[in-house]
Amino acid sequence: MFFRCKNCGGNIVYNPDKGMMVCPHCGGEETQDKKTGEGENYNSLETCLNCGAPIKPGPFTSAERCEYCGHYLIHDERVTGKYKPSELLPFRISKEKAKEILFNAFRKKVFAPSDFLSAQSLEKMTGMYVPYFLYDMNVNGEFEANATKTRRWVSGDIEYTETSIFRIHRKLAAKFNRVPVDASDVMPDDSMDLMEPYDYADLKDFREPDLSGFYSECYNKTSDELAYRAETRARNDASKIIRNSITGAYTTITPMYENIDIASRSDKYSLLPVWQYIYSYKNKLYTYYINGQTGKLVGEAPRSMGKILGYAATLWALIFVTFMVVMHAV
Amino acid sequence: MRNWFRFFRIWFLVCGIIIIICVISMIWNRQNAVNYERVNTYCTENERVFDYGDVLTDEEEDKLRALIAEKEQVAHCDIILLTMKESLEEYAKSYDPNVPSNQYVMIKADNFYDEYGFGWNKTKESDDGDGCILLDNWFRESDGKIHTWLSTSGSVERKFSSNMIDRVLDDVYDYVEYDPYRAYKTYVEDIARYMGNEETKLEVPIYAYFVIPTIAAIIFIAIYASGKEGKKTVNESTYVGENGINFEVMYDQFISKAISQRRIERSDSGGYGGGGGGGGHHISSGGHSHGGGGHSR
Repeated sequence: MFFRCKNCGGNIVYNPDKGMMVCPHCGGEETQDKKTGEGENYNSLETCLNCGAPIKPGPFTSAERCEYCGHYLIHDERVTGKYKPSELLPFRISKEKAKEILFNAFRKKVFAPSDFLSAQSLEKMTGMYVPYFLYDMNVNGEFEANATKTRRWVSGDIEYTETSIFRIHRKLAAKFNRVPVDASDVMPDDSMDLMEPYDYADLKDFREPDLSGFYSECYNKTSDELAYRAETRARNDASKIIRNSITGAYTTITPMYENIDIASRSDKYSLLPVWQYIYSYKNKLYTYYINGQTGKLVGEAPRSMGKILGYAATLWALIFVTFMVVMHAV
Repeated sequence: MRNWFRFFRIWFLVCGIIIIICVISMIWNRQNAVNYERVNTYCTENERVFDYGDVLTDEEEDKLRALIAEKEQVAHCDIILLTMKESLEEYAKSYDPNVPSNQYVMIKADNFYDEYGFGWNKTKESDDGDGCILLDNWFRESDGKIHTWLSTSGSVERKFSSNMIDRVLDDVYDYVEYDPYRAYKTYVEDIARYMGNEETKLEVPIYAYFVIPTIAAIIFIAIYASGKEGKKTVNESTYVGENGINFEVMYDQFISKAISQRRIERSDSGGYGGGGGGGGHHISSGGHSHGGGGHSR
């Protein structure tokens, strides 16, 4: 499917600044008309519904842009049925804003290649709705430990050491809400984890038009297959919460027993917004992610060896000459 | 290239200013170089080592003369050595009947210096020329002691505190009993060192000129090479709401208490005292200002 503007017939897309569908051609707002393929022989994964050109979506691609006509296509079978997301967090950062964030963060990295932040390169930035499972979990934890407190004082020639022994016991019932786990294999887990946190207050029920103007994937693995990541995280967090609750100024704490159970678990399939910028330098790809809602940036600037050497040599020469002159003057 | 220039503009500016200041100061120094030649026209005596006590060999005297000639160019003052082996009691008392026995040498040293008219910059009788004299009188006076005096004048007097004089005399007394030559050599070297006109050029080994900028460049690369963005901004309680944490059991129970004791070892420490001698400012019989100090053995 794709969305056509009722006014001008152009491809209408979601506008993060206005928070609604806006036609980039005529400025029409919420003037979308859904177009779907018809006929038994039509396959939305093989031909562009707008121009008929052949397309080759990836195995999980659910939304993309036709290379030929530039229309944003949404593949029906990957956003319906078992692949229908229950929630979507709409983009709040526009492409212009995302480019600005990247530019400001890296413009001081003097060793980056010259065209790293050029307008032409930044134009390649794409908005992606990344598939996530958001897990709700009830976690029970129990913890026991022996602890000591030591106090020392001196009276006359005698030093006294008093050791008090305590038994610590904790039983925790914690409710974790919407622990996110990205369900896309192509998105690196560590980068996606660094995208957090998202503000879930903006989550809304999934609506097909919101995908227009962006790329997207359906989940690559099922929620059961990915649950271990959420559970591991909940266990670790619960363990930390318990330890943080021990506030007595103990000298030593020796854990004797610890058990953390996931009592119940449920999840929702959701799409979360990420801007992606891929920069190729010396046969290596550098990928940058910007949280499409909060603007948080994750990535590492490429380094040009020529620039490093040039700048280091300049600094070296400056210090060398100044040092020489100073030492001759004094 | 534009970014390169913009990045280094502060560096160019700062280094440029430093270089300009240095060049100006070098030119200034060259034009205003002070002439430190000896200008004493009053004293015609070239001898500096007066070994009347005959405690040095001729060879040692020559070596001291050479050393003094060299060090005087550095210290910009006259450095005199006078040894004797005769009583100065009568001589001193003729100038001051109440002079204590340890100051006989002071009167002799001051007068000796003034009579010869020593002083690096002494151009007329009334000048207190820059210089110093060490008088070591090997004769045991009636108090049973050998007395030594270091008399200072002009720039040396202004520079040398009583403490510094004591230090020089201490250095001399470290050796004087068994190696007078070494003791007097130390005196000459001490004077030259304290007068501090040694070439003050900082001695920087040649490799430092290469090592220091290299270290700076490495630090620079280390600071700027890191291009990482994005830190972890969630913690263990991000996904548990305010009411999401409920401790059903939470207690710290006191079990027992034990006290152990240990005797602290103390050691007694003794003190030690110290003392000091010293000379100071005075006017010699010839009316000249002298500083100085003496030691006895």
